[in-house]
Amino acid sequence: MNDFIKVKSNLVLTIITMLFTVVNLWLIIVKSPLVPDQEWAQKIFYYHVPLAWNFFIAYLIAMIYSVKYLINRDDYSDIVAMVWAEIGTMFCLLVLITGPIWATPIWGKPWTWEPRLTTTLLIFLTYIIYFMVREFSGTTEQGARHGAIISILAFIDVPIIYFAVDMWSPEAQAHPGRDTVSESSQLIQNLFLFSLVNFSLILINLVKFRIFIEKKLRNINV
Amino acid sequence: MTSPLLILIKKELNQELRNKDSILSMAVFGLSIILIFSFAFDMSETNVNSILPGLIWLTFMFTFIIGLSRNFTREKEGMGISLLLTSPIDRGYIFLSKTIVFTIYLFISQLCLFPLFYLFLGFSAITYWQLWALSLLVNWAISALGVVISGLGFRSKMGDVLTALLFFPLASPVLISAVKSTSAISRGIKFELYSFWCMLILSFAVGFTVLGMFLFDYIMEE
Repeated sequence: MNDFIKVKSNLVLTIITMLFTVVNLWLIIVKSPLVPDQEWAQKIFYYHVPLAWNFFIAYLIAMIYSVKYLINRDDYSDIVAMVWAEIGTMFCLLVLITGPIWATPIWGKPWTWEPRLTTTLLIFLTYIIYFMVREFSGTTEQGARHGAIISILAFIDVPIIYFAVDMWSPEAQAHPGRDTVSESSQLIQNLFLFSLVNFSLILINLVKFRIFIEKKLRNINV
Repeated sequence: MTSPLLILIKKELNQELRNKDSILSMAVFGLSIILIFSFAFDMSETNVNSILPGLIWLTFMFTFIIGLSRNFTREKEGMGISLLLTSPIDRGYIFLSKTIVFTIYLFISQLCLFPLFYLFLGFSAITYWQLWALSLLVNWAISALGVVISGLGFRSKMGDVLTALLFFPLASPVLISAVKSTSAISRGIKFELYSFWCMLILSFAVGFTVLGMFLFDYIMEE
């Protein structure tokens, strides 16, 4: 960590992220209004939805760098693809944890086998296998190549998560956020945007930090 | 018969005709699964129609995995695949030939097993042509995915374990759609009402085929 923040841009980014996070927490708890029929449960939407958007973006970037790795075979693309996949999986796990917390009071049960939940769980599972393959696949080159292939295959799943709920409409249920954003007051929308920026900053910061570590590790090992 | 694709398909079919081990093991395994299912679940008349579509497609997924693993094991014996890979043909053709052949194998095993589903469990939809058309479409989608994943397992140290681990999460959107369509067909519902599911299977079939053509080259590297 010390070496990481010795670089000036990293230090600035880390400080900004920390400030944003503290302010965001204060805004969510103190400033955000209570939505009538959801009360406190609704506040998790400021966490849940930005996390979900960010894990989509993380997996998208992981996929792009996986394609780049397959074409160029450079270590850097592999590191970047792996790191985005790692942080994306962590965000995805948080989405899967915060979702049931919201759903328990609203739907009356933590989990239903409804399309968006199912596909999110599937993509999470696929990325767990991605890390297993990377870990167990003998040589690192083969692990990296197979990982890249799985990352591309898994990404077929993501657009379908997006479209599934809208097209599956008769069985679809309310999700934290989707309706609230469009129908709610300007204040909620602004707070949501702030939270989104905050989580994107956290994502970028974590990724930068992780890439920094991974580069160091590989330089020592290779 | 000069097109590489046709030659490869002929090679696969010849191999199969000589010892019939893929199709036989698929059909016999399918039969034993049907037996196990009928012990394991409550097959009373009120119950059977709601769980039958799921059982049917689970059975075919399992038999498919068995056939796939048999085929790739045979390629390993006698260095078949190494010779195949050194020949001057596009590896996309190898992928396509295997996909086509497995679509056919699965269809043959369905020809054997659907009547048994009718005989043992009273699945009466086997007279609808829609079911057979759906079967072909699903066969294509899961064959394309299965061949890609088997290729990964073939090269990876994890072997068949990887195939089984990765196949089910990635195939489950197709499985879900197949089950929903089958249950709609068996209840005689109009095509417009379940066409969404068929489109989903079709898009996965196209997606997996395009990705397979693109990725098979990278998968088959040593």
